[in-house]
Amino acid sequence: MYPSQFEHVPVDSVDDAVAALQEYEDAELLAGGQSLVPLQKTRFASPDYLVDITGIEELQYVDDAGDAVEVGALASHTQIQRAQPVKDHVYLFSECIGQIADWPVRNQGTFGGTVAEADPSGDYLPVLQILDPEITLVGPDGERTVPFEEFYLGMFTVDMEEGELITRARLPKLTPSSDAAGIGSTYKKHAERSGDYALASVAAIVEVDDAGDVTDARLSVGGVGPLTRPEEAESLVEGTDLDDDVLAEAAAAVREAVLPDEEGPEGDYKEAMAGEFTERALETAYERATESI
Amino acid sequence: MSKSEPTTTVTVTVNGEEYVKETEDRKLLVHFLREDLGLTGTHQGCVVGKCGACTVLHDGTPKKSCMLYAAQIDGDEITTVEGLADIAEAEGNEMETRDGATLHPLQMGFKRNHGLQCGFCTPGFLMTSYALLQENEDPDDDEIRSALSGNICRCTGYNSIVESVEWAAAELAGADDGAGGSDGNEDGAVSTDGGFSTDGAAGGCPCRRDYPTGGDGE
Ligand SMILES: Cc1cc2nc3c(=O)[nH]c(=O)nc-3n(C[C@H](O)[C@H](O)[C@H](O)COP(=O)(O)OP(=O)(O)OC[C@H]3O[C@@H](n4cnc5c(N)ncnc54)[C@H](O)[C@@H]3O)c2cc1C
Ligand code: FES
Ligand code: FES
Repeated sequence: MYPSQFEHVPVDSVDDAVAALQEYEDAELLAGGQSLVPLQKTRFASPDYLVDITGIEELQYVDDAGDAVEVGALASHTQIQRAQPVKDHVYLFSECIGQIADWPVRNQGTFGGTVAEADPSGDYLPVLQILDPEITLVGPDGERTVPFEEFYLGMFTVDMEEGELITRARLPKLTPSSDAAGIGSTYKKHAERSGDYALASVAAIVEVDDAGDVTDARLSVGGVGPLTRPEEAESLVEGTDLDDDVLAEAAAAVREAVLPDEEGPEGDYKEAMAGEFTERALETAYERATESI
Repeated sequence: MSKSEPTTTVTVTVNGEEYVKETEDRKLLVHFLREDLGLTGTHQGCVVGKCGACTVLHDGTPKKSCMLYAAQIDGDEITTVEGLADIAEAEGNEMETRDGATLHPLQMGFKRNHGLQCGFCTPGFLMTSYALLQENEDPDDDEIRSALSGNICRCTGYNSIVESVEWAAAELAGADDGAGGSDGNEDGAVSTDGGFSTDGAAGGCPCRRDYPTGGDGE
């Protein structure tokens, strides 16, 4: 029940965090602790040192940065969800966060910790896959920035070197591209109970022209095996006005594209839900895209 | 163990009182509150962040105290269920039971509306509900359910909990109105214990909701 012994090393600047990671061997960063603390309690993680970055105020912000919304690594889920620039320009993300765990957990869990963790059932992943924000890290050799597409390597694995920490991300604002008249997005999650990790989840962004035809569709499916970008389904809906037949075809393409870890009925169920939630997500995103035209 | 246990000296204000304590680095806040400070109102249920029994306010924000280390809250403010009555007194909306105990309207709400049975989960529900009402004086049913979705109760079936919070919100709104009067403090302090009013100074019989005196369409 108790975590194994460790020494608590509080730091209050990025520089101090980088220095502490170099100084202490077998050190782990502690941000919100909402993933790390349970891992320590179950002894899946037993670091000798915890470099506690919760006090780094310079990383606790959400800012409007012109064409993007910048999120500091130590912004809490609640802080991001409620930030006006996120609600106004990347509502998809706000909608996703509202479905993570519960209020007290969202008050403590952070952006950076969630991205570093890269839990395949986590709610951020599908949203970040279709937004493709730039992720900035700082380490002993200074700062580097990588697109999320390159940063995310697979389940629980990201492009992060020993001694590095994530400092911020730039979430591109969702504005219609030049050939589109409207844009809409949504995140739909299927879980067993409120607050549980997703059994299947779908993030969708849809752009439409004046006639209501889809000019661009971005989809990502989480929770069903590896994070999946169902490109076949995306191209199927492009150029259509998303009638029931197209939705059914897209759902079928998604069921083909996902690779559930589970075999038998459980895997079949997840595949079916991936299809079902794709239809729901596409419908909602399309409705929102056509609202303004 | 050859290595000596790493410790941290934590200065923390709990329910308005400052404590300076040396604690093991690996000690969770829930254990710190219960074992080191003797504040056993905060309960430990699942210890994996799912049941919410251990919910306390950290600088005013509800968090699960089984998911925070005591060393992490150095210099901060914690509010536990033991502090609710004092808050009510400070805000002038305290309520008294028949036997003279002081309660926050939320506590009275849970008592009157059967918001608890065994009571194990209740401290967590109270703290989350308190934070909700701080943000939103008049939450609707969905907002209450959403705010409380991280708190699990094995006894009540939740409806009575939601009703308890609604009752408290209405009571607090009434206390606010009363505060405009000559002695808002007294007006707000309704004395009740399950429907009996025993304190002469109380501002109105709590039975009024159950026995309308006519004219309101019942
Ligand atoms: C009951 C419960 C339910 C949950 N349900 C969901 C859910 O439905 N959906 C969901 O998506 N998530 C869920 N979560 C996880 C939650 O979102 C966590 O907040 C998150 O996964 C971890 O973030 P953290 O800030 O708490 O990180 P921590 O636990 O502090 O850290 C996690 C890992 O990331 C590393 N790290 C932290 N910050 C940084 C940084 N800035 N740079 C580099 N590495 C860093 C740490 O060293 C550690 O290895 C749940 C958690 C709980 C307790
Ligand atoms: S004991 Fe903390 S959430 Fe259950
Ligand atoms: S009253 Fe018994 S668990 Fe809630």
